[in-house]
Amino acid sequence: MAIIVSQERFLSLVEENKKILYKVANAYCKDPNDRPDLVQEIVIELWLSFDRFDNRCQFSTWMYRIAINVAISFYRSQRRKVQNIVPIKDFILEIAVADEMLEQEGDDIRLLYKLINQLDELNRILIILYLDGYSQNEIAEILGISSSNVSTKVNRIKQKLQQEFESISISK
Amino acid sequence: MNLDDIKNQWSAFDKKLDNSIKLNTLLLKEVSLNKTNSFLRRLSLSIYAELILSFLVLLILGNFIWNNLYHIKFLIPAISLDLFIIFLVHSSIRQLIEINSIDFSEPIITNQKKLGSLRVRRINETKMVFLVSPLLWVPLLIVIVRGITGLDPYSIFSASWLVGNLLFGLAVIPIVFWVSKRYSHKFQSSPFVQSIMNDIAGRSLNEAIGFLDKLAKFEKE
Repeated sequence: MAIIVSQERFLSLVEENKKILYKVANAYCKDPNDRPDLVQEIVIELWLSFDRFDNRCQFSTWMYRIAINVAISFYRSQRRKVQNIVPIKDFILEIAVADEMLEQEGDDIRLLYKLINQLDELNRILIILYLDGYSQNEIAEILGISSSNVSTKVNRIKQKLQQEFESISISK
Repeated sequence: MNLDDIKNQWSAFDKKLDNSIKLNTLLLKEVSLNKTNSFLRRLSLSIYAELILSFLVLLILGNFIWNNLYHIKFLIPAISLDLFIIFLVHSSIRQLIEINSIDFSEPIITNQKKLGSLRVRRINETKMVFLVSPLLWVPLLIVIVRGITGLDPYSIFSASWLVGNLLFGLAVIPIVFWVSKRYSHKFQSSPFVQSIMNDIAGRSLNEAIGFLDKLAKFEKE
């Protein structure tokens, strides 16, 4: 009974924060076809760690930490074999629907996603967290670096992205 | 376009994502999340299996050493195998300790450092196994023949044959290293083989150490 209650609570919290799954999968899969596997691996790790979630931070912050840690390992792994738990993997998260929405978005957002994917795996999440509206302290806590370090890095990446945006706009 | 302006577009897209994409919670519940295993749990299960096997081999070797305590010609090959297995046991135990200390809800840098050092340890182990194995097959042959049949392998195989094989094993090591370095890219259809070849050639180790350096720089900058 306790497991069922815990599972219900877990699923509702993941449901509330499902966009994190999409954003992380989009940012860390070299091949878009790998995204269902990564989403599955993240959900499994979230569930296995859920009994240690103690509400000391927001669920979204905790979820981001786990999702990114799993994603970076997944991204760097060459021979990862994913244990399939569902017959149709895409059904865990309707990635295709989100992709269609992204396609319909303005050029800026699509370009931003593209430029973010060109950053290295650590800077990539830094800028996603910044765009998500996390404070410097929260980002520092998720990454495990100092706030001043976050501030320096965010400014540097912003400048870099800004330059990229400008050079692409000029070439258009 | 200013990045701060795009931040607003980003949050608007976030809301759309929230409203449109669906998480199939029903399906997740049906397949019972409790039956699942993470990558690290699967890895630690395989290390436990390796460990059990290694202890069994150690027991058998211990028995062999005891029975041949005064026969130096059998003792040396058995001890060399024993030392190799002890190295594997030590490495497996260290890996299990490292895996148990990994918590995916820890800050990214802390967690990735632990995963990085685990990766370095595993690569070193693979490298060691594949490079030392060609040297150990002669001692293994001696121990197996003596242990199973009770015969003297030195009288079955000539000394020159045994020395020749040992030298051949020695020659194989640089060849394995060279082949791994030169041809690993040709095994793209088999990621497992390719990854072992990269481990032997030192490519994976360089990459893993490079990532640890990157983490250290990211933390300090």
